[in-house]
Amino acid sequence: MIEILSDAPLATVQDFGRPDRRRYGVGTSGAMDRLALATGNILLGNPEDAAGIEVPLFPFRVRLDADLDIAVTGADARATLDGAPLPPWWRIGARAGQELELRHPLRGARAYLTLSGGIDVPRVLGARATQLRGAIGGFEGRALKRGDRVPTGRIGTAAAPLGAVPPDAVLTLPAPSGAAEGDIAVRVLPVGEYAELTPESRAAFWRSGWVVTPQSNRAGYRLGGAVLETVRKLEMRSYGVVPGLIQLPPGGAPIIQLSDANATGGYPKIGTVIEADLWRLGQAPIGATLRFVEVDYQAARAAWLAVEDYLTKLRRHAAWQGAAGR
Amino acid sequence: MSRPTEIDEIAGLLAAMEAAGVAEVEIEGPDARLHLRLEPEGMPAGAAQAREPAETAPPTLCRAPAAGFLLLQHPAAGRPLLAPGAPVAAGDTVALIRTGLLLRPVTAPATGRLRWLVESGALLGYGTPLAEIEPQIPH
Amino acid sequence: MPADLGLDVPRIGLLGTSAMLFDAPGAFDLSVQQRIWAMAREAALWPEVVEAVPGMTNLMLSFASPPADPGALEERLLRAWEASEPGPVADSRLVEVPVVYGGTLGPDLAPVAAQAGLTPVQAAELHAAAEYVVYAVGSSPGFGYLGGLDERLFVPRRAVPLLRAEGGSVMIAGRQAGVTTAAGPTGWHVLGHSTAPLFDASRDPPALLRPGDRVRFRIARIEA
Repeated sequence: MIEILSDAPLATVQDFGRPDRRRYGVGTSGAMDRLALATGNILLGNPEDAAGIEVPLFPFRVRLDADLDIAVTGADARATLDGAPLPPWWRIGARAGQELELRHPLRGARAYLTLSGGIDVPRVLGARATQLRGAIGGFEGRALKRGDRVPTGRIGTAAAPLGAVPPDAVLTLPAPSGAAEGDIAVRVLPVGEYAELTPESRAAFWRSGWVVTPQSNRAGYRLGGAVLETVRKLEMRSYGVVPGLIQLPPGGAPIIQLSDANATGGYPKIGTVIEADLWRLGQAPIGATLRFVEVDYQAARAAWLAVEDYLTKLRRHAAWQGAAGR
Repeated sequence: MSRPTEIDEIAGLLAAMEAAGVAEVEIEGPDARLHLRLEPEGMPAGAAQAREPAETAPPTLCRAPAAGFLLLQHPAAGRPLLAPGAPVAAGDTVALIRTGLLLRPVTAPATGRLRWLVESGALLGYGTPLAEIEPQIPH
Repeated sequence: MPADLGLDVPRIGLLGTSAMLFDAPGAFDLSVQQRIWAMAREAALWPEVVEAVPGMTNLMLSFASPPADPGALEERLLRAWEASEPGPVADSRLVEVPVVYGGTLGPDLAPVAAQAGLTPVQAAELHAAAEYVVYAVGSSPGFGYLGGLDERLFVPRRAVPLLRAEGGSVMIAGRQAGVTTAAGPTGWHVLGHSTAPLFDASRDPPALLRPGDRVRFRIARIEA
């Protein structure tokens, strides 16, 4: 059990979400940075998709009501445990009564708190992920707030401090030409109505820096930058939407559909940020500039395999070292 | 690859030997015999005087907690864990050992001034001395 | 009116590394949608498919891992389309949805009626007179896209979305009709409100409406 001590706006319980309920109108939800969630769980010896807390706004403070192993991954939230700093991507055995604080990260956007045994709220439609619209799953179907007492799966093992080499130290992407320092590159597969874009718009799509505007959230990122146009105005028939899908509404400003997107949508679609790079989007804060790098399917698949390889190695190293508890 | 548990037990024995000032141990089991000997070069100059009163306390060895590569800063950090020349307190994290994708903290066993015995990036075995700490009584 | 994609032949393409979309050719009509339902039933059984999601004359397949040979999957989808036959769903049910038309929860009844040259009462009666078919469920939890709207009530989506339509909103846009189950923004026109239990997350399946079901709206009251 942990108690939320701070206001915790928009902090939600998330796991890998619901990949197979779209046909009921229920979108996937789940962590915006699944890689960070999985890494924390691996360090704790949890199943990789155990539920944790996604923290997008800071400071975030909790008190442990029991001895628990904890891990903080994702954006470096300069975590402290009873005031003592923890390195990023780190797990430690903590004791009842200790207070954990996460502070505003200097880079990245979302931190993940995972705990021994995972967050123990009921599964709804197969997952513990929170879908705010519809109040499905998570902790009472809503974001966390001060005073909430959130149940956890098992008591800690007084685990020795242990860290993971962060994914972005291993899964590096070269900066695309024209990118400024701090721009976040993501690989994109052209899809759907991409060929309906005017030639100028196609060039602008790849060349522009796309700003994550303040109208962005877990449902999707509204991008600011060039105004894109299709050769003819299109009326689409509603189709299934996946996270990463880039749509072009009539105004010409693209939207990237994300974890809390509707299950289906009706705007023209022009590209998809590859699944292997969704975590990079999850770590793009409001105001960040994105750059799209064109790839084909084979490259996108290879990138997915590289992410799986990182997790497989981490799992193997953690098991081999008897990481859980030592 | 040897099972971690056996290596840990042996390393634990070595640490106990060193703490007790014991140079050699032999253990016999049902189907194996274990003989551990701490070579004189492996022991710091001060350890031989461990039981004698000393005017200055001997330096304490800081040893690798696991086999792996020595990192002086976290891969996600912009600067080293220890500012050069800064004093360390017992319990401070002074470095990391990277074993595959895992990072373990190297903790200062004593308070004082740290002197590195190996270089950043060095591949170390379990228990290898990597630094020594000149104990200093804090003023 | 903006252009429909207007395909002569099926179009199949990847939507990333975890999904593929099949677009059926031809007009937006029930016989095409019935074939999509048949394809969905078959594709849902394929081992690499996590879910088959019928859209409006399209079908999305999602995968657990990126297929090594997407071309082979595309071929299989094409064959499933060619083998598919139109026809009603075997276990189709008739669902009755009572509606309070107009008033504060039906702010668009009057403007839609005016655009159609009808009184609000006439527009409500026209909406409730039809028997609708659930083409697909999506958009929001339990939301059924309904076909069968009388063409006198065809109105394009709003140019400026309504910031918030309450859960239970009975809405139309273009040739489609539907009922929401949760509050949210919408580009559709809200004619009225219903308390019918169309979605319950503690049920499995959680959505009351299924593709192929039929829906009738019953006028509980008109607040003109």
